[in-house]
Amino acid sequence: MEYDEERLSQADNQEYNQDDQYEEEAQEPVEPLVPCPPNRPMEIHHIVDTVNRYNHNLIPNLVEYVQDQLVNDHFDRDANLALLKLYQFNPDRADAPVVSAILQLALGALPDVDFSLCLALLSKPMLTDRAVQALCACHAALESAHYKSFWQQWNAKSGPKGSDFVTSEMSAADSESVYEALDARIRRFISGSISLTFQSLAAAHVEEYLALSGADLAQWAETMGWTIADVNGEKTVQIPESAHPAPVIVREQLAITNLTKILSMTA
Amino acid sequence: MAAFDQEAAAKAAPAANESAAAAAHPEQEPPVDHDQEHDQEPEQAFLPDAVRSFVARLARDVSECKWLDLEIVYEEVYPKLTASYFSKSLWPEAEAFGPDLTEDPLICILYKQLYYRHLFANGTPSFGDYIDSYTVYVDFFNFIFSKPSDFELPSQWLWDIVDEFIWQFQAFTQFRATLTPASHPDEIAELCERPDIWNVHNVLNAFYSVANISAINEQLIAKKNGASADEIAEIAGPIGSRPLFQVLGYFCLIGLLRTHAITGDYHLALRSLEHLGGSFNDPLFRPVNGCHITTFYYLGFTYMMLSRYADAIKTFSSVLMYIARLRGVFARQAAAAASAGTASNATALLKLGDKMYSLLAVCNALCPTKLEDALVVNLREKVMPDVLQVINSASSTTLSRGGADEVLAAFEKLFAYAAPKYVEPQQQPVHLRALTQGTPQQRQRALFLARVAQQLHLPVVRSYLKLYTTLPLTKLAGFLNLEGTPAQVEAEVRRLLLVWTQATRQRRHHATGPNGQPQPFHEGQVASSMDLEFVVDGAMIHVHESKTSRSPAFWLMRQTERMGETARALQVGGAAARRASANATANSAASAALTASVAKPVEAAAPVVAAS
Repeated sequence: MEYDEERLSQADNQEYNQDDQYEEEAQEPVEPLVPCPPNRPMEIHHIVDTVNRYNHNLIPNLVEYVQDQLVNDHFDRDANLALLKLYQFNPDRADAPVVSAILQLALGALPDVDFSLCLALLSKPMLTDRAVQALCACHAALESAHYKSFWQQWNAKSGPKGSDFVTSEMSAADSESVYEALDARIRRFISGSISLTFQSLAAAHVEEYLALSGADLAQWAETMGWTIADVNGEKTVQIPESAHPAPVIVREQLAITNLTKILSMTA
Repeated sequence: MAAFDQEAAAKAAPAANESAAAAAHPEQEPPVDHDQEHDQEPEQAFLPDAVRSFVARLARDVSECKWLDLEIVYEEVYPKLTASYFSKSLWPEAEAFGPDLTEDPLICILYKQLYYRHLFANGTPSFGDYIDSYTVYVDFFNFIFSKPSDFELPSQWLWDIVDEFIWQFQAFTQFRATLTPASHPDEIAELCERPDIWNVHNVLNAFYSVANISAINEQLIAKKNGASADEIAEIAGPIGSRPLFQVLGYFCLIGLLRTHAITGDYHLALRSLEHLGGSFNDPLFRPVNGCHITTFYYLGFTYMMLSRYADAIKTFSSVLMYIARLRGVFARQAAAAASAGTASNATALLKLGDKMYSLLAVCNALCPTKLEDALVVNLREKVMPDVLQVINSASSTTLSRGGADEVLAAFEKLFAYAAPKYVEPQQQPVHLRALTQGTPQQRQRALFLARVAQQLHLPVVRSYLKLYTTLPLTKLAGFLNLEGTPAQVEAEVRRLLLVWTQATRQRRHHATGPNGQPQPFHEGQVASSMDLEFVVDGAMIHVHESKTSRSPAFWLMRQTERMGETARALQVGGAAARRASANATANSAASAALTASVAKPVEAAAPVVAAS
C-alpha cells in the first residue's frame, strides 16, 4: 500500500503537473474541439474531449456519469472508454464493479461493437473478475445468437444482474428500472436480427429468443410492427416486407470523365 | 512554451553524464565493436574526414535552415557514410566531434537521434541506451516547444523521428517485460526511481502537445468547413502556419493513431484522425511514403479489430495498390541498401506491405469480396501458402470440429505475423505481476480469435446459399452435416442464419457522410458486407443475390481505348518506318485506316453515354 501511494504521488508530480504547466504557459484554457453531443453534461465533455481524459483525479466524475447513464437509459461510448483507459493506465484505481456496469451498458449498445472495444482495454485481473466473466459469457451468447442461453445467464440469481455497483449505489426501485431499460435495449437488438432474417417464424421460437410470452409478446410485437397470426394451426409471427433489405442491383454508369482518354485521342 | 517533461529532463541530465562515463563498462555495451572505439582513446583518430565534414555540413545546414541541402545530407550522404564506414560498428558518440557539435543543442539532439537509431537498428541496445535515447527525445520535444521558430527539417526526417519514437517505445516496453527483480535488480531499482522513462503518458503527451502547438486539428476543421487560406492562417497562428509544423502536427496525429492502436484503444485510434477527412491526398503530406503506408496499415488493422472487415479490405486494397505502383522504386532502394549492408526504409515498407497482404487474406476470408486482379496475384505470392490454403478452404470444408480448429490456427498464425506489437501501458514498476498476466499481444489475439470463431461458418453457408434461390432449412442443415432431431437441427440452422445477419451488418465508412461533409473514420452506416441477402419464410430460405448489371458502354470504352493505343503505336512505328524504307505509303495508309476505324466507335459510344 505504502508503495502504491508513493507511486501515485510521483505520477501526480510527473505527469499532470506537466499538463498543467503546459496549459498555463500556453495561456489558453483547454477547449474541446468538437461540440458537446446531446445528453452529455458539459463538465464530462471537458474531460472526455481534452487531455483531461488522462487525469486520474477525475475518475470519480466519470464513475458518477456511468451511474447517470444507467439511470437515464443513455449510453456514452467515449466517456465510458475514457474511464476504462484511465483504469488501464492506472491499474491500482481500477474498480471491477464499475467495469461490469460499463460492460452492461455496452451490451445494451449492440449491435455496435462497444463490448469488444471495452474488453480490449481491460487488463488481465479485470478480465478474470467473476462478474466480468459472466458478462463475457452473456455477450458471447448474444453474438452467437444463443438467445435462450443468454436470458438464462442474464437472469440467473447469481448472474451479472445483481452487480455490486448497481445494487449498492442505487435504491431497489432505481436498479429495477435500470434493468428494465437494459432488457428493452437487448430485446430491441435481438428483434432487429429477427426482423432482418425472417419473414415468418413460429411464435414459440420468438418467445424463446426474447424471453417474452403471451400478452407481453403481443405487446412487444406490436411495437416492432410485427403481426401474430395463426398459420396452419400454429401461432406465427409475421414480419412486414419493408423490414428486409432489398438486394442491391448495381447499375454501371458511364460518366463523361471516364471518356477523357478517348476524347484526348480524337483531339 | 510547453514544458514537455522538463523535470524529467533535468533529472536525466546527471543520469546521461553518468552513463556516458559508465559507457566503458563492457556489460552496458551493445555487442558491436564499441569497446574497441573506447580503447582507441584519441577520438580524432577514427573519424574519417568524410564523416567529419558530414557533421560540419549538417551543423551548417541546420543553423542556416538550408533544408533543401539537409534533404540531400539526410537522404543521400548519411546512408552512404553509414554503408561505407559504419555497417559493422556504431557511429562515433557525439562527444567525439568536440564542442562544435555538443555546444549546439539542436545539432547535438539530431546527431544523437541518428546515433541511437543506428544503434537500435544494428545492435542490441542496453538499458542505458534506452534511457539515453529517451532523454534525447525529451530534449528534442522540449526544443520544439521552447524555440518553435528556430529550425527547419525535411519531412522525411521528421517522419523518421516520430516513427522511431514509437518504435523505441514499443521496443522498450517489450524489453521491460523481460526484466525481473531477480535477474535485473539494478535496472528495476532505476525504473522505480524514473517512472517517466518511456512512460505512455509522456509519449502521448509529446504527440498531444505537438498537435496543440501546431493547431493541426483546428486547421483541419477550418479547412473542412471551407475556410479561406487567410482564415486558416489566422487560426493556425504564426507557428501552426509554418509548413514544418503542419507536417509535424499531421505526423503526430498518426502517432496518436498508432499509440492508441497498440494499447488496444481502437475507437480513440480512429478518432485521432477525426478531422483529417480527405486530407490524405494533401500534397503537403504525400511525399513521405513511409507515413502514408504506415497510416493505412494501422487504419486497416484497427478496422479489422473493430470487425469492420469491409472497411479494412478497402483500406488495405487502396494502399497495397499504391505500393504495387511504387514497387520498382522500393525494390531498387531495398536492393541498394541490402548490398550496402544497411537497413532501409524501403525494406521496412515492403515488409509492412507483406503484412498487409496477410491481414487482407484474413479479412477477405471473413468477408469475401472481389479484389483487384493484381492483389489476388500478389496475395498468393505473399501469404504463407499452407496458411492461405487453409483459409481459402474455409468456404468448402464443413463445420467439423477439427476443420474449424485448423482454420482458427491459420488465422492465429497470420495474426501473430502481421499484427503490430502491442504494449502494456501499465506503468512501472515491473513487478512479477507482468509475468503472470499474459502479454497484451496474447490478450488481443484471443479477443480477435474469439470473434472469428463465431463466424467461421459464414463462408460455408454463403457457398451453399449462392447456389439456390430457394432452399429449405432442413436441406441446408444436411449440407452442413448438422446432427440431432429435426427440431434441433432446424433451430441450429436458424441460429447460424441469425449469426450471419448480426456478423455481416457492419458499419461502413464513406468518403462523404450523410451530412455532406467528409465522414470521420470512426463513423459509418450499417450495411451488409455480403453480396447476397436472404430471408427465411417458415421453413424456406429465399435468396436474393446482389448483382451488377453490366453496361455495354464500358466494354465499348475499353475496346476503343485499346484500339486507339494500337493505332498510335502503329503511327509511331509507321513514322519510323517511313524514314527507314521507301514503301512508307502502304504503312501510313494502314494506320490511317485504323485511325478511321477508331473514330467510329467513339461516335458509337457517345449515344450510349447520353442514354445512361
